[in-house]
Amino acid sequence: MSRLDGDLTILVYAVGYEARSGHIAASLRSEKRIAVVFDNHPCLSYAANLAMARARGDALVDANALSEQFEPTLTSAVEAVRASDSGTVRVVVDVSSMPRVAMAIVLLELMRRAVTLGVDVAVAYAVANYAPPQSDPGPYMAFEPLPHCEGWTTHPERPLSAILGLGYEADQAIAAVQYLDPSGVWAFLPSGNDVRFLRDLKRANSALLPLLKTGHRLDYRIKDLGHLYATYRGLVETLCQRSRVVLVPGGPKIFSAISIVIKAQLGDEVSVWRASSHTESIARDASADGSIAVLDIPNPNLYKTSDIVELNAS
Amino acid sequence: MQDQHTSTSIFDTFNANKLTPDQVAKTFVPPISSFTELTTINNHMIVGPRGSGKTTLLKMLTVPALATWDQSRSETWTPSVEFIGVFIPADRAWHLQLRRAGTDSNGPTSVGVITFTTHVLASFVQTLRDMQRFGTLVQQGKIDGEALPPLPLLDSAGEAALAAELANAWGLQPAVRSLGGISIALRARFIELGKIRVEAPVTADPDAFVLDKLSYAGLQFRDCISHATEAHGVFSGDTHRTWALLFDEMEIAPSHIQEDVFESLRGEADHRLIYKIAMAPFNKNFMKKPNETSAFPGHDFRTIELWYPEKVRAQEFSEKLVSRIFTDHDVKVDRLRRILGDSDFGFPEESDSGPYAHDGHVLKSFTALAKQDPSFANYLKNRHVDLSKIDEMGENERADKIRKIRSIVLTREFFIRLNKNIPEQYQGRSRKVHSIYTGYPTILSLCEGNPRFIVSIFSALAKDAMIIQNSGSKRPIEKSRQAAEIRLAANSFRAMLRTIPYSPPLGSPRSVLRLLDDVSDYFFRGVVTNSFVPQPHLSFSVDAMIDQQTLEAIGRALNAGAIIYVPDPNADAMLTSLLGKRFRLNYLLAAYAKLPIINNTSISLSTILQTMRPADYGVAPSRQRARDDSQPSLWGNDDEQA
Repeated sequence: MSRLDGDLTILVYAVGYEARSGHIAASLRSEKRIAVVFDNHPCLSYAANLAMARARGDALVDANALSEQFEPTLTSAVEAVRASDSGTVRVVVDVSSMPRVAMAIVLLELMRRAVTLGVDVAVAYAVANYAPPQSDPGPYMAFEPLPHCEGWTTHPERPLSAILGLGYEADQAIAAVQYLDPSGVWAFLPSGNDVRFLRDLKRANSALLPLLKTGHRLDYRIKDLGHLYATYRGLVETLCQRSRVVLVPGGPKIFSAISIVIKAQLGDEVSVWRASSHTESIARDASADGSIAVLDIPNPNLYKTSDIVELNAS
Repeated sequence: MQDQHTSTSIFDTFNANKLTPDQVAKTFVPPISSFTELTTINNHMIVGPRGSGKTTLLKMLTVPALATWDQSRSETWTPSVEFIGVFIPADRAWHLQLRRAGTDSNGPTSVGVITFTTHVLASFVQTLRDMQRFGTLVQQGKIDGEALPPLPLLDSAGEAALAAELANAWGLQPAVRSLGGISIALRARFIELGKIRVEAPVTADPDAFVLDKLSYAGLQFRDCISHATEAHGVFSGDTHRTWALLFDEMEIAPSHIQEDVFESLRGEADHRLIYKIAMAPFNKNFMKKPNETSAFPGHDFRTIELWYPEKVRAQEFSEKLVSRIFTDHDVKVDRLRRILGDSDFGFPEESDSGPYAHDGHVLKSFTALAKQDPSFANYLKNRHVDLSKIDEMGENERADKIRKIRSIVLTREFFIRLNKNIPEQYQGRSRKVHSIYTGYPTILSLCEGNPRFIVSIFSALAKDAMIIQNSGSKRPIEKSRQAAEIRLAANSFRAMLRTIPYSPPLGSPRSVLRLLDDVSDYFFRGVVTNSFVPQPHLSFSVDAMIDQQTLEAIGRALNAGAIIYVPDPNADAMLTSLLGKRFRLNYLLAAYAKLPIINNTSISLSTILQTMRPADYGVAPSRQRARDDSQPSLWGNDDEQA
């Protein structure tokens, strides 16, 4: 079991049906753990993940009451850690298996309270083994802002810029472009060790990629979150000077987490939308490949550091 | 960081929202009759589906666009605009912010409505600033401004007096008494409203909170603009000027705002104010409760249609815009037919004889189909058509027996042959768009006169044309390249249709795309897989059996431009009801669905849906009989093709 930078750690993670949802909790040493329990699909590894959380004595938060339960649970976890040690407390949010809506609620609340609680904030992601995309792209796609992420512009007359995170959900990104009808489009493409993912990603975005102008396609490595954060935030800040900015994160969950963080840092001229494919509710497993990427969120608004921790899958 | 607003070609964008008005002016290809009508001092509803050029037309009425009207590229025609256009932009993302801020509630306590009013005021002030800027340039002789209306200038004292008047009426405290100062103060108001929209919902009485905090909550944009134009007239000495409020994207505005703007069309309060409103064809908020105070077409406003039920009408505009795109890429446009090559279809209206010669492609296609399709051979026999004597037919006989069914036969023969030779190309709904949809004039027809489709397809092809030209060749652009660009445009369009939800009465939720795919599959059976009929259905009418959810889905498909309204003569362009109306598939979707791009006979939508999805709509009463009556399908069980 590893520790990050020697800080006191409170881990917030999801208990869901994916095998990887308990991976970071089992791999990283932490003083307290808050498990957000998603019981809407109690299949695959859900029971085992929940049993592990209970066995570790983790604080359980019902995902259906996240808005009400998260803040008091967090406060009490911070107080408990402080009672036994006066070191720096870092709250790490493992977003690997966390739905985007819950991710927005957790991260925005955490960033809002970080100064008051005197904690640092980080996001962590357990990289998944390759699994092929679903063959059925789903009956329809819906686009809407994440909770508290719709933004508020003081320049409604300005053009709209869209920054997309690409994944291998077929045509999701081009549908977002068509739906929002932005004036400028940028796309971040993830890359990892498995070339099959990139192949599937290009296939799923074959309608969008030819439309991207030179310089509007930005590749990133999941294991280099510091670079992704710096590039992404720099782009958003630049675009905000002359346009309204909509972030539409697809692909790995960590990209969504960083999108929410940047929105929280840069304010209401930025909004974060999500696409949901409305596939039939078929739970698909995801297993961790063993590597964990962590990004420390600068607070105040300065980029600080990022860590990559290579661990064996447990 | 690359500037997002710098394009290598001005046609690189699909969206007029991206372009500044002066950029719009440089690329503008006017649909002359529509634009001329729009420049008259009347209220107008500009009605067209997504991408039909509504925003472009509105932006062309603004001072910056008219100031940079490029006469050298707009033939010899210069518009005569006698009003000052105030462009009020909008888009889906912003309207959603308004909706979340409470535009669903009526009255002054809705932060969304107050914000919308603020936006109108800010747009008006921006127009005043544009007038000052371009009026000065005209005065200095730096631009000729031939297309501009007279722009009365305010001197410093006049501007300060106007700013003071507006600040007083609108409840602003500008730091500087100038139009710039008013703009900044309105910007601060947006910020305050953003704060209030967060605070109000968590108070015990949000309405009271808003009224207590915002002294300007009760401002009405009509009253504010009416007062402001009068004040401007007094301080500039030009008291008779007409002002046009140009509302964009009204169909995606929250309902309350739509109704508020529609109410303005009555316009008896201030004759100096007129309204030009861009709308999608179907809007249930428009004339929702018609009464004696409602606005009526012809009396209170005129309608400008921006779609083309008949492809011949779209052709002239499409040719102009495509030529302009090619010219923008330094491609010399002598004849588009040379650059694009001939299409297999051509227009049925053309009276060419070459294709009917013994080696002509039409006769070849007829002959090939007669050999492999007994139902077609029977049809020819019953009609006493001898294909070996086709060139001996008189013009009328050929029109009646051959030309009338030409597109159907070409399509049927092409896809039957394709299925036979490369079955994997045909299985399911492949993403391939086939070469029969390329070439002149067919590829233009696919665009429906829709600037967005035209720009999307032809911006890329212009680069091919440029390369061919630079190589010294006169050959047309490869059909495979044309097909690839059509496919890209179709796939993007289809992806957008997947974002439009639809819940059939019995089945699970899906997108409107699946509904349209059911319709196109039904048509495909009639054209290709079932026994040959000379006039298969290629349009549908919305009948009384159609449920409310499907009606709404059809309305959304219409607004998206996925289906085209085929109105009866003298029918209203603006639809408040779909019942009894006739529609056809957009030709881009028709090409994707392997259908001929013609407007044929119609069938009721309920029959189509009950045939294609009996589990979702119930079984069509006539279906069993129809199946019993039909001859065996060429490819076996029809249902397997669904």
